[in-house]
Amino acid sequence: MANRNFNRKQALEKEIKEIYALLTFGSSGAVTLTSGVGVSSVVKNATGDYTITLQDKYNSLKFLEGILLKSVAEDIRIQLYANNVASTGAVSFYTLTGAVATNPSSGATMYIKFELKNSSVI
Amino acid sequence: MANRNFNMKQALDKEVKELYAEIGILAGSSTSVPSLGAAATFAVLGASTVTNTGNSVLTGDLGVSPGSAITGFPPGTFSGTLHSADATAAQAQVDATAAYTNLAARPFDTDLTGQDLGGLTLNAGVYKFSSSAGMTGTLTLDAQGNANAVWIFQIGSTLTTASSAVVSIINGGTAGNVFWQVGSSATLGSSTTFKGNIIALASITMVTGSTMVGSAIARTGAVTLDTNNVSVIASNATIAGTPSLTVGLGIKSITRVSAGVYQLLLEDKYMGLRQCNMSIQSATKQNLKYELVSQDVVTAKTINFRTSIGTVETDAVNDCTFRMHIDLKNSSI
Repeated sequence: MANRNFNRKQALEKEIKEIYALLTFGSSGAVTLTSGVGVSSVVKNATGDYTITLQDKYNSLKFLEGILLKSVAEDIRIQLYANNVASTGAVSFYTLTGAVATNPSSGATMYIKFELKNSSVI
Repeated sequence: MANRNFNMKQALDKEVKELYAEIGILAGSSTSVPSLGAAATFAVLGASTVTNTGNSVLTGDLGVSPGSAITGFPPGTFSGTLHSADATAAQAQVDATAAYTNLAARPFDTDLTGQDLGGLTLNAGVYKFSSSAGMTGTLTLDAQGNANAVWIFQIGSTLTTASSAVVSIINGGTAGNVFWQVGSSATLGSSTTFKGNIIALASITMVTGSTMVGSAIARTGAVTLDTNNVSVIASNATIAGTPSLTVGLGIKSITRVSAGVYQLLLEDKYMGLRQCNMSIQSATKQNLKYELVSQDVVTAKTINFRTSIGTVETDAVNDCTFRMHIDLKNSSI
C-alpha cells in the first residue's frame, strides 16, 4: 500500500461526508450492491432506472458521481433525477445513452461517490 | 442525520480545499424562451445566399454565412447592418444552431401531425409535426392574458403556408415568443401575414407580398425574398438556461455567458484548480455533456464550463440542478 504522507483535505462547508458504493450489473440491468459502507441497498426500478438507499439520512446531497468500469466501450452516463437523502436516504438515477434510459451491460460495474452534508450548520 | 464515525479525508497534495456549488437552472417549463443569441438582431440570415426581388423592407440586420452572396439590395432595404460571411454572421449561425437544437429537443405537449394549422386556436405550448406542416387560412395563437406566453412548433420537414394565410396572436403575447423549428424548408405563400421566428434547417422562401414579424433564419440553405416586409422582434420572457446559485460557500456568482456556457466566480483566489466535476439532476432525461471551457482561479477567480449535446453548446431543457464539486490548491507548496 502507499506509504506516503497524505495531507488533510478541507472543505469550506462543515460536516461534509463521503460514501462510496460499488455496483455490479447482471443480465437485463439487474443490479447488486458489491460494496458500500453506509449504503443499505440498490434496486432497479425500470430499464436504466435505479435507486440507492443509504443507511442514514443526511441534511443534503452535495455531489454524486458515478463511473462505469467495463473492458469494452459503453456509451452510458448517469443522471440523478430524485434526491431524498434528507427524508428517506434514497437517491434515484438514470443510466442514459443519449437521452434514453439504458441498462448497463452485464458484467459492468459502477463506482459511485456520494458527498453529503451531515448538518444544517453553514 | 447520520451518527457514525466518519474519518478524516486526506490528499497527497498539500492544502487541497473543496468547494461545492448547487445551481438551479431556470428553464422553467418546456415553453420557456430559448435564446437566439447573436442571431436575434437579424431580420434575415441565410447560410448559402440571400436573394431578393422587388422592394423588400427589412427591419433589422441582414446577413449570410458561411456563404457570402447577398443580392437584390437595392432595390430591397434594411435598417440594420449588413453581415456577409463575417464573424458576426458566423456567430449568429452558431447561436441559431444552438437554438434550433434546443427547440427540437423539447418535449412536446400536442402532436398535430396531419392537421392543417389554419383554423386552429392554440394556447401556449410545444406543438409537434412528425413530417410536414401546412397552413391555409388563419392560425390563432391565444396568449390567454399572459404576456410571456410561448409557442414552439417542431416541424419534421417542410412548413408551407397558402396564399393569404395569417398567424394571429390574441389576448396578449408577442411574435417574439413564437418559434418555428423547421426540419427542412419553409415557404410562406403570397400575401401571407406571418408571426414568429423561423429557424429552418435548409431554406426559406417568402413568396410575393408575404410579411413576417420575426427572424427568418436558414441554417444551411438560401433565403429568397420577393417584395416582403420582415421585422425582427425581441422576446419578452426569461431566457432558458438562466442559472441561480442556490447554495455555494466560497462561490460568489454564476452567470450564463451564452447558450450552454456558464461562468462561476469564486470569492477568493487559489493557487490552482485540481478538479471540477458536475452532476446534473433533472426529472427529464437529458442528453447533456459537461466540460470545462477555461479556468483562471489564480487571478480572475473564474471557472467557465459548458453543457452540450454532441459539440453544440446547449442549455438544459427543463428545470434542473447542477451540483458542482471543486478541488482547489491553496498553496504553492
